[in-house]
Amino acid sequence: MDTTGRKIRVLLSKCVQDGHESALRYIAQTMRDAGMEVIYMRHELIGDVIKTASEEDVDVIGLQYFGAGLMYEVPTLMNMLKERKMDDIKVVLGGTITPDEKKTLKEMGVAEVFLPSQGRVIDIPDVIKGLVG
Amino acid sequence: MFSDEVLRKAEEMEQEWKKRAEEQQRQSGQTLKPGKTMSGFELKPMYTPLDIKDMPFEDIGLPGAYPYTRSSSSLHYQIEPLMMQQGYGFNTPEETRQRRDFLQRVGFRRRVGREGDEASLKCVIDLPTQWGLDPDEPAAAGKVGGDGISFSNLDDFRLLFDGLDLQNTLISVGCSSNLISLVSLFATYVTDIRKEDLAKTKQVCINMYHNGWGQRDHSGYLPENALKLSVEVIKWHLENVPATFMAMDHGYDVAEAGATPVLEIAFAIAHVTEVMEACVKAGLDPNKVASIISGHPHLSLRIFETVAKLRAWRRVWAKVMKERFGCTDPHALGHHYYTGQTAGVELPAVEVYSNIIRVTIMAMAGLLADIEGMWTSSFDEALSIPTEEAVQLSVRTQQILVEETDVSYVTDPFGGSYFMESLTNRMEEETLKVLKKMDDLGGYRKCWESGWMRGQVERACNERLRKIDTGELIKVGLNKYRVEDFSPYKAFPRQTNEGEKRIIERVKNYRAKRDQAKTDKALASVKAAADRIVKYWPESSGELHRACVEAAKAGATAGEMGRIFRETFGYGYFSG
Repeated sequence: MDTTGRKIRVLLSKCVQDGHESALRYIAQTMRDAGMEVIYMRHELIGDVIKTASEEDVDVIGLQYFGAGLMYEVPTLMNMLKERKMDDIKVVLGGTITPDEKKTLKEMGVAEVFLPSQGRVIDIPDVIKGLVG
Repeated sequence: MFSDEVLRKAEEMEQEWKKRAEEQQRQSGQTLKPGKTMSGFELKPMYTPLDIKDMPFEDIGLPGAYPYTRSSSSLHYQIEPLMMQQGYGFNTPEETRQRRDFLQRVGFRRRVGREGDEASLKCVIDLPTQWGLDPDEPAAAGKVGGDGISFSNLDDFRLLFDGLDLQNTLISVGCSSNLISLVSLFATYVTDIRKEDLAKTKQVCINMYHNGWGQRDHSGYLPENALKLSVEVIKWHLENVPATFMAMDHGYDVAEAGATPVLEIAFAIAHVTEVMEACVKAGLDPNKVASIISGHPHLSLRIFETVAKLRAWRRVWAKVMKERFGCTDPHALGHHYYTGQTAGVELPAVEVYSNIIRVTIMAMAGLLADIEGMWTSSFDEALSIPTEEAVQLSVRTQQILVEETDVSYVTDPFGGSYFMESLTNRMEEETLKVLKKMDDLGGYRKCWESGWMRGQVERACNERLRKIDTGELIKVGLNKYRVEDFSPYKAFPRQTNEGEKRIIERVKNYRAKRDQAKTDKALASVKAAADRIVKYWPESSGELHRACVEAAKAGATAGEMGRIFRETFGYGYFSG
């Protein structure tokens, strides 16, 4: 819960074309176990994420990238969030992302990037709680 | 299998062993913790004739004879070396062709050590191509060539295949939701551009229409339509490219998604059973169908469980094909694993060079189980498209195992081992239990539609990942002996949008130079055939694939055919 007693609401999504599922699904379970509300979706276009985030009034958007689309979809998403004044939503990313890409993505305003070498999913809810405060 | 005398002695000796083992625990202060399989049952610390006393010798049998526990061939590696089955592909056909030529230089061949063979070209295709989207579709933006090769038209196929010896190259051009369109384009390339005999090509066809998304998070067509499409592919290949093998007894993907080894066998067999039943309805001979279906199993670090799984799987397959479908042809009864693939989930993204060791162990397990072909993963696949260095090492792994060690001298070296036979029996029993449960629940389709299969996979997967998180399941370097200051590995760079621009331009030019009226007419025929597959099956079986080949000849792109498939067969998520 955040300071007002409301449960932290997290939107988790991956591109609908990507079949990799186990990590994101396990993260969803881990976040629910940590008391968060998780909305799980698959997006066809990155704009779909904005729509759901707005409807569901989420605090955090978490996206998975196991390959293609990262350096196209994330900048698009960050711009759209700014344009719609939704940039109080924290964006976190995970997947096959390099340390160099992490730096670039954080410069774009991404709140946190979990690299594949991190290895522990169990720590992620605390990081999220820290971001939302 | 054993005389009463042998069993009596074994009983006595086992009792003595137990006493000694208890004494040893007392003296050392250490308590025995039984090993546990990934399938969830405990192992004994040692095995005796008593553990297999009730099994008939015929169930072990000999290589190449029913029930094919030990091998599908009487002689195997001794005369037919392991097939090299790595898939690859990234960015556009140009880059993928360069990778193919590199692999050819390092000795990658259809079979290890066969110099007359060519490097196999099993294309890993990108997400938009898998989905049946041409590269200029909005949903393809930023993803073109990212996870595999992008291709959509005959000009792309020319860049990839021109100059290659098609008769001696094992080729696979696709998988997933747009298989028929891609296969039709390739067939047109062979017959119309190369003017060669399609029937003489050697193809692998990853026919997963009816498998992918019932078990894991992958989009697909409505189950009843997906089943008809799987049959469509089999029928067309039996008539046109008889040397194809259908990689559709597929366990790898569901095991990667988290299924246990027992679930992997059961789901694969249940899937094949349903497709075979549909093939029979469509008038196909089960002997011919079963003969071309090949296995694509998951090879894990659990060496003995992997070997037992593959032995049990062959036995269950033989019994199902004989008892349920009345097959009599040895090629139908003896199951072939043309692509045993080393497990990606076993390869963490830290200290990635350690993964060379993991891949070697998994590859070894595959060889000890006498698989026909193998895909050894690259050590850096948890990070990116593999580098040249990484794919070279995955080729070397197979070459060293086959050509420097003695593993290829003797078939099924574990055959007759009390432990291995007992474990094989247990894997078979557990698999039959799951198959019985699925029958009770109404069969494969019902288990798909209700989400039962996905639920089983999810539970097993979350349990495994939690164990890695807590350190109960050890991954060296990741959750044990971890050093935080390791130097990051220089992964293969992500694709830039230069390739995307290039391939979009190519498909636009391709469309601009064709006879549009002719293409439109051919696509209208595809739509009519697709509608007939929905409404008048099995009478209409075979029409759609033929119509797609005609459309490819008339200049249609993969995405234009793919759009018709998505609109007609109901595309989306329906996995319970």
